[in-house]
Amino acid sequence: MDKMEPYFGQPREPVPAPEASGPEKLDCDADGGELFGIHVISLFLTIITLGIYRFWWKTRVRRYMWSHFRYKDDAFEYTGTGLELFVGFVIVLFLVVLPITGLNIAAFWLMENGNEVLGGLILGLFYIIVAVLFGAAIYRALMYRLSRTLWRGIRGGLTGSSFGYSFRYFGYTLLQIVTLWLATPYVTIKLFEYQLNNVWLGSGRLQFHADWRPLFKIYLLPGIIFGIGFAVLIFGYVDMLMTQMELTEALEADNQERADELLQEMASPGGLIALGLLVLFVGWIALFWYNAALYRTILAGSSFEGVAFSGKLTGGRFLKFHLFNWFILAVTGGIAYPWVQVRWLNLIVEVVEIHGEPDFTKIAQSTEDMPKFGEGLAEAFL
Amino acid sequence: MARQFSGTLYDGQSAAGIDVMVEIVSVGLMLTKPDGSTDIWPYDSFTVMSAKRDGNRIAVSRVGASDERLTIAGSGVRDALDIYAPQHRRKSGRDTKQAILVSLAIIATLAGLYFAYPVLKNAVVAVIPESWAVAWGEAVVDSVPGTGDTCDDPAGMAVLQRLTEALTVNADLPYDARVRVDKSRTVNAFAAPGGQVVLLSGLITDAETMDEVAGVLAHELGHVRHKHALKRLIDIFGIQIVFSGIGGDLGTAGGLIMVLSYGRDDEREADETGIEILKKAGMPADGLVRFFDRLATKRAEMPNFSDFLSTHPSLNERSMATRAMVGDYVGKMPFSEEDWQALRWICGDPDADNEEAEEAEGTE
Ligand SMILES: [Zn+2]
Repeated sequence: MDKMEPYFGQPREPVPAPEASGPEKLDCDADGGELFGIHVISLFLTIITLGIYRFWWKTRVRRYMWSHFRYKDDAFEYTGTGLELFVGFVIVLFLVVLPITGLNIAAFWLMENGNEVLGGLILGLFYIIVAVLFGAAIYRALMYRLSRTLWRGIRGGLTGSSFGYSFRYFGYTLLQIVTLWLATPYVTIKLFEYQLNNVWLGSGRLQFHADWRPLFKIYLLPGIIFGIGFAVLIFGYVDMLMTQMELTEALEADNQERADELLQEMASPGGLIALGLLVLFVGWIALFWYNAALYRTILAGSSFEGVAFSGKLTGGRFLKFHLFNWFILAVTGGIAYPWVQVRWLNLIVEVVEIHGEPDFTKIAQSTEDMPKFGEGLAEAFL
Repeated sequence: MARQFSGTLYDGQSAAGIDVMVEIVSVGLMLTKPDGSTDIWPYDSFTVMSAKRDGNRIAVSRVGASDERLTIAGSGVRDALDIYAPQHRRKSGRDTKQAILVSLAIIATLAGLYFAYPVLKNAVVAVIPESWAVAWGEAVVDSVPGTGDTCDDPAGMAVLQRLTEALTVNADLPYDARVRVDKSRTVNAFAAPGGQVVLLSGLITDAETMDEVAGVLAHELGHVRHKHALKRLIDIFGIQIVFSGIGGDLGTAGGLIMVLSYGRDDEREADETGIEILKKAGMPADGLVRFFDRLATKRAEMPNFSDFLSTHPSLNERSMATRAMVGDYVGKMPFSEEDWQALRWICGDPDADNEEAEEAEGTE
């Protein structure tokens, strides 16, 4: 027993004075080259299995990424399997996709055979089902992924109901349309509130509350630019359509002179459309500052068993990050994708700051039932 | 090489671990807990889930339903496992080696497909029933802008019928040729799957003699003889399968009209067969050559979807090649000037069209 002395009797993890060395960080040592190897092999197997292998492909990539991502020097673990994803896909194919496709076909058949009202009703039903399933697909995919994510042997989880989420998603989408997407900050925060407050690690629960109003101020700039861009675009488009209609008339009346004139005039709606697209592009650049603020808000609004978070992502940093991603993807024709995935992991490491530490003795294993199969709905809709 | 390391055991019940001493022994990992009790994890009961890049820290997961996890830390722990536990040896560069092998396999498969593909395609083309080819051909023709207004002047139709019969009687075609003229100002003609040939009336109006129309028709019948349109259809279908298999959307780019954009080899083959068909029918074969020559001078105005006016190989090149094929052969046209005028009038007054065209261009 003597030789074992050094291993015991000393503090397990020296407890640092709070914030003595700044906030704690996550850690990642994933390597783009290794991930590239996984992608190439999986691509080949996917081709020769006519696509079936892609479920195992996803699984291998996740397993790699999770196992190179660490908190307190302990790696995350992904325990999902390709078979679970495959079975989930097959189940959804037969229980959801085929029946609603049948519904769609039936609707068109009815409409073509004189029963417009019933056909239209069934078609409406079809669209509502698809819209509702869309939100559920997002939620169920997250449920599956979290239930297959372990840290120190403790399972993650997502409670709440996927239909609870999807009805909110559906309702908020309607709200977005009614408010011409000005409700985006509110809707985003509300959806995250539902989702994040249902995230668990074992018996530990994530808490998230945030105010959407400060975000709304930041959203106003891209929001207004988008509004102007769409207005210009729609105006140009309508102008273009009307000129085209006149042109058709002129051609039918064999009025070559008028037609030539109209062809000249086409330049002005064309210019408007180009201008509209340019304005939208500017709005989209401005959106990076909003998105950076959104992620900062989400981190600052989250806490886990006494641990607080913060983020230091700026809009400029986020834009540069994306520009570089697109650059290397464009230059390599997409081959750099694994390196982009690793860049995302490293961005998370760079941005996420952790303050304090939970009492690990109080985090017990999860007692939630795990979903048996994975992500079929997401496969079908996303 | 050290065999003893410090570790932390997570029992799968709590995120707080207990310190253990881990010794790599012959049957597995021997864990000694603070209370002195020991436990053995046989080598086949766990996997190495994660290893830090410096090799000084690994995470080990129990196989099966157990949530027990073990972290082992210490200088050289990954190397020690390599040496003492062959089952868990690092497969160094395994993925890289596999990637190279797989790349070679892909290249070999593609090369194999490249050589086997024409053979497979011909086999498929040979078994496709005529009725399918005709149905697909109709869809292709419908997708071409400017078609659909089929002309039916009885006298013109009769001449077209006689011209088609004269050309096809010895042409050895796989299908009956279905030739029609659609009213359009465009100077064009094409052969769709199933032996359907469409001449746009602009081509007839533009031609200076009936020899030229016969030449173009013979060229299109050359496409029919070799089932070029059906082969292109299969090419496009194959491209779609490959891209949808990978999960992309590229397959949907381009429409049915792509069927009519023949490649260089197809055009040469159709020119060659066209000349042969003209010779077998005893007709003059230099109409096609003259048509090329004339078009070469005004090619810039031509729409780019066309078959007959396709820019590769260049019209000059085709003119020279066909001229060589004609050689000093001289044929005789079994049609009178009245026949030619009847064909020109198949869509009504051809000069009305011309005047309009001239007005539109404002020149000539
Ligand atoms: Zn051709």
